[in-house]
Amino acid sequence: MTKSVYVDPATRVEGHAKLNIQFNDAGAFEKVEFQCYEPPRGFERLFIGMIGEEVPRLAAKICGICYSAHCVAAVQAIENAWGVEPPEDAVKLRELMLLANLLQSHILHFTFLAMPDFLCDNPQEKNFVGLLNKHKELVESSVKLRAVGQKLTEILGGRQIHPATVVPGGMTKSLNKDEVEKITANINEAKVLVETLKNCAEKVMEAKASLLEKFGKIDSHFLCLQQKQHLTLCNADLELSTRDGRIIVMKPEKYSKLVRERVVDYSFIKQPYLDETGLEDGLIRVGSLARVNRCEWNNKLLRKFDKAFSRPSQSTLAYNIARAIEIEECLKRIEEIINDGVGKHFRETVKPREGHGVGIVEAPRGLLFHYYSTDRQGTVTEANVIAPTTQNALAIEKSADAAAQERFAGKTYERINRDDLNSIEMVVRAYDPCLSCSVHLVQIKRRVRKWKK
Amino acid sequence: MSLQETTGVALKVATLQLCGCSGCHISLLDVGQSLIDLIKNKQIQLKYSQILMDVKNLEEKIDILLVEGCVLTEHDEEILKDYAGLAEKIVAVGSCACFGGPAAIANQFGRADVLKIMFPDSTFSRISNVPSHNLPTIHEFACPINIFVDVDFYVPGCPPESEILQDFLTAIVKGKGSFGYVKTVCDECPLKRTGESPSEIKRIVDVATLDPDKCLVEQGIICMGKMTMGGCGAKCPKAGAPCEGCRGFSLSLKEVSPSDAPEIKKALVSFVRRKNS
Repeated sequence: MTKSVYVDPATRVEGHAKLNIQFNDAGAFEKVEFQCYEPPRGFERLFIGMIGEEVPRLAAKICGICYSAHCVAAVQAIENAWGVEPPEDAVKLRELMLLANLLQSHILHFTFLAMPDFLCDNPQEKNFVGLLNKHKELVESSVKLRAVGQKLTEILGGRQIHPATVVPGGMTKSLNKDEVEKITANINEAKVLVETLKNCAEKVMEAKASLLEKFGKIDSHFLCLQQKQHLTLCNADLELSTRDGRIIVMKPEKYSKLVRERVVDYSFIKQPYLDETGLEDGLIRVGSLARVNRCEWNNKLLRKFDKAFSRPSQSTLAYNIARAIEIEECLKRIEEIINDGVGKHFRETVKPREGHGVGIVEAPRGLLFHYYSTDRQGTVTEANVIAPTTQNALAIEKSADAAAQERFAGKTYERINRDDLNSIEMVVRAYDPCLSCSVHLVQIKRRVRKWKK
Repeated sequence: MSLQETTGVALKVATLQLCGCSGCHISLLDVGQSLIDLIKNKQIQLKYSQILMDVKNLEEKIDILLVEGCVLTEHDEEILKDYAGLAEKIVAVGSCACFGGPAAIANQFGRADVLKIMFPDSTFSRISNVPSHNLPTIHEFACPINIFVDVDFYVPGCPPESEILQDFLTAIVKGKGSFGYVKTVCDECPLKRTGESPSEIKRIVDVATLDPDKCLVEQGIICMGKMTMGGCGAKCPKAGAPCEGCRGFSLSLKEVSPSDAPEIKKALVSFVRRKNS
């Protein structure tokens, strides 16, 4: 009989999941199942029958960590469906929102969720309270840095979480002079604070080099938006970098032809994979590592990253360091946009019409797709959301499996301890899974669904 | 006498996430330095929080249980009942825990209809297509937590603003506990009202040039501020976006002056017609 050891619940991750680590009769390790038991809340159903301009605000509520990403992806899809080009200043404001969101999300993960594994030894202390005792400066600067991101979201979106100002045709508000001054002051403060995080990332990279490089490493394809000279979170083409080093650039709409999904009986998450290569070789990954692998930013930490992992890197734990790089790049990009100036052309009247459209952005955890079709009055008739964690679902399971293979080699069922289990969780955490987002559709065939009164 | 004074030690706090988006936890973290200070000064001791620490099971008695999210699965129900049994006071944080939230909007369609969209094909050889091996069953209805346990305090909002959570934590540490808002969002809203009724109801996409200083309802946009519990500082209307009523009905709704009531009714009726036409 197979014996199972459960890590239930997986902690320091968003949402509900457990790891089912299975051992065979002889007590030797067999496989890991990543079981997400976050129930689908049915957003795809809720959107149907709703007028298009209400969608972005409800879409934000899909996730309490990457709200702006859902909001912007949704509005892009609605605008795409209605054939609307948003005014240039609205595009800037939305990009700022995405950046602010990424800033807070990455810092939350880096300091509060990931770093305790690398900086605290005692299992009881592996949390931010434990971190507070030993690395007070890191925690306190992270708290301040997160506040910078959240204040920016509040200025742009009206609220810190679940922004309200995004509507098809633009934004309901722009930035006034006071707000720009406030943002500039905050960013200047943040640029000093971010040094603590960078130092921490650098130290961890040096101290745990071989662990970061090898543990839980898997071979996969990467998907991201094409990175320009700066951190690019929206308005770019889709880029697939395959395992054998080919780079394929395509229009975002092509995504649905690119992947297939499988449903497993033990998890509410569906598992997509690359159609062309099949399930075995079709593993895809999205997120900070995918972006950092393909970027050309001028960044000191990035050069060190290159030395340690040699890009394109397949190391799962390198995700953590990639996040630190992105935090700095994110601040740079916010400054760039603010210096560039945001004008008064942030809103236009739009006319709802029949159509269907795709919205695609880089959420903190990777590519995020929203798809809607609307009727003549702009009422949603069909909706689809593909969240980053869904796309990482198969990779999370495989990485945990690889980590367990290494950790449990020559070890039997009876001898595994809490440290072993935590190390498997650490690999899962590297993806920063966001399970509330993940339990959504990955739709392959377009179904025709008409909303009936 | 405050809970902290009675026991003389730090308040033992646990946060529990049920079916929700984690936004309330993030809002709690946004309290920031004040939260860190409360922990550092040993006024609050965090005993369990799945998203922030590695304690897998709560096994000791605690003073305060902060619950985020609604109850949608068997597991949500079990863990809520278990942990509520260990807690002195239970707090429903956020609109999901207080009223059901987005997941409860789907109640009107029936759970089967909702799940059918996600798992359309009969992948598994059983009646339901929904994955179920070693997974909790999904309830038909998403429910607020007070259906299953007695709730001591409600902190509504989607999510509750971090200022509100900070006030709440400070109040509860001092032993005050209860705090409520009698005002509506409209009462707190700085936008100018002249008292005139809108000539027609507009959709927000119809009007690119809203006067940012003028009441949204008077400009013809549906805003729920008039009937929604205040306390949030009317952040959405201030930013030019209508209130969506995330904080639930105002306690003072009964006191809405009769002259206001027909206006609300009229607004709602046209809104519903517009949506269904």
